[in-house]
Amino acid sequence: MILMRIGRLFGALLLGLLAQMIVLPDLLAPWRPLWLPLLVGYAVMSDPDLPIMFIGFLYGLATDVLLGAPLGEHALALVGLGYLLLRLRATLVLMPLWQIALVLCPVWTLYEFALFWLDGLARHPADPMLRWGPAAATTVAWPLVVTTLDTLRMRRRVQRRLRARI
Amino acid sequence: MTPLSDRHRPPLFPRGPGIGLRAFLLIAIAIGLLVLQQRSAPLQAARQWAATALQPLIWAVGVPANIGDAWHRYVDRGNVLGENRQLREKQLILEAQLQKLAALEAENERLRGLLSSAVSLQQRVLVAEILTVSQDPYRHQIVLNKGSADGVYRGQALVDSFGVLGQVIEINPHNSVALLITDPNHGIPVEINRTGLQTIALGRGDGFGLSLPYLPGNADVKVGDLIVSSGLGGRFPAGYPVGEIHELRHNAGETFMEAIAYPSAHINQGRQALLVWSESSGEQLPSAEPAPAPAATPSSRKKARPHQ
Repeated sequence: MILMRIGRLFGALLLGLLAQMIVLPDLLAPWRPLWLPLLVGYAVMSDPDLPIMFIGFLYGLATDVLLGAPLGEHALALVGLGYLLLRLRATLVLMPLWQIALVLCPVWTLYEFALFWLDGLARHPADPMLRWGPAAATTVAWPLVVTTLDTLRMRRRVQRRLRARI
Repeated sequence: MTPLSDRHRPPLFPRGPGIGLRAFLLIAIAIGLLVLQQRSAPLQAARQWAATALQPLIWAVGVPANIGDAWHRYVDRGNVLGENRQLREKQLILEAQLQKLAALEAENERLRGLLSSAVSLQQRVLVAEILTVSQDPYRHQIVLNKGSADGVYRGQALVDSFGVLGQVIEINPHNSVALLITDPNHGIPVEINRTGLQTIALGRGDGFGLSLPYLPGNADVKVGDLIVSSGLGGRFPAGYPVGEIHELRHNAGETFMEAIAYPSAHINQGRQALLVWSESSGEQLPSAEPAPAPAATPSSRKKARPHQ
């Protein structure tokens, strides 16, 4: 059972990685949501028993390789994000969706800042203004993603229970 | 209330390292990778291996762009069909024009022949088209489509791909008249290519022969010798083939031996000729009308204006 859940998380993050890598028009590219942190955040909220930080670490390494970033940069940022969200989880689950979205906005910003800082350490300075668009886009995308994934999960759970009853 | 929490039951007695320790370990590994990657060759190799393993992902990322391209191609199909129709019509016209190719190819072949003879001598040349050939059997003249507007000057040498044809005797703004070497009024300073013997070749007037009437009786001349222009007098460029000795005549009682030659140039064949600028250009040359002394022949003595 837990292996199935881990597999689902792996698949979801793979889709997230694809969404992160996909080529967007120049106008939209700075406003691409942070798909991997978004899905890691959702996993922390919905299924914190999984080894989220470790899987996030692996996907961070894959992102580094694919983006040509210093190895460990995204891994470090994703592990830090996972840890922070696991710590905040107990408080966040009590809030309504829109409040969680607002509270998470500084978390995404922090994630972006960590990347910006590590880029600076690796002497690969990027335009800092391009860093804040994704954080804003992720804040907007959070309620939509959570609603969509929750709906999918609910439907599947109902089907499973119905099947069990039959 | 968000439905996020409905599944999680925190363990009453948690086992294994806490999330703080796990996060610390993973962050330490990440920092280690960040620090070590510049110096560690195995890490670079591992990165390359990972990049190879992730290649399908890169391919998958490119799929939407490819689909977009395919969609654009589909949308462009209408334009392409219209363009295709236009191209078909154009092709029909071009095919009709292509039928002239055979004639053009032959013409090109002849022109190339002309050019190659000129290139080998590194001289300034101009290709002229032969407009008309004189119908008078006693006057071997042709009219060219190049005149003074093209820089043609009186006395300019005219060659084809095989040898010397003649010289220009009359120029108009856009055409000119040339006298062929077979004209009885024409003389050209030549040398026997084998021996270097200098002499004059005169037109015989029969349309296909040249006469070399001033050869010494004991001159080393054989049938089959090539005669080339000697360049003396400055009117004809040196080294162009003029003809080939066909017959030698020893007239009893005469001091000179006469040789009969056939011109190398294909006279009255072909539509193009090459105007050649000799070393000294036409402006510096004396007028073509007075003939230099050696060009005098019995026939030219009778006529007023022989052309060397």
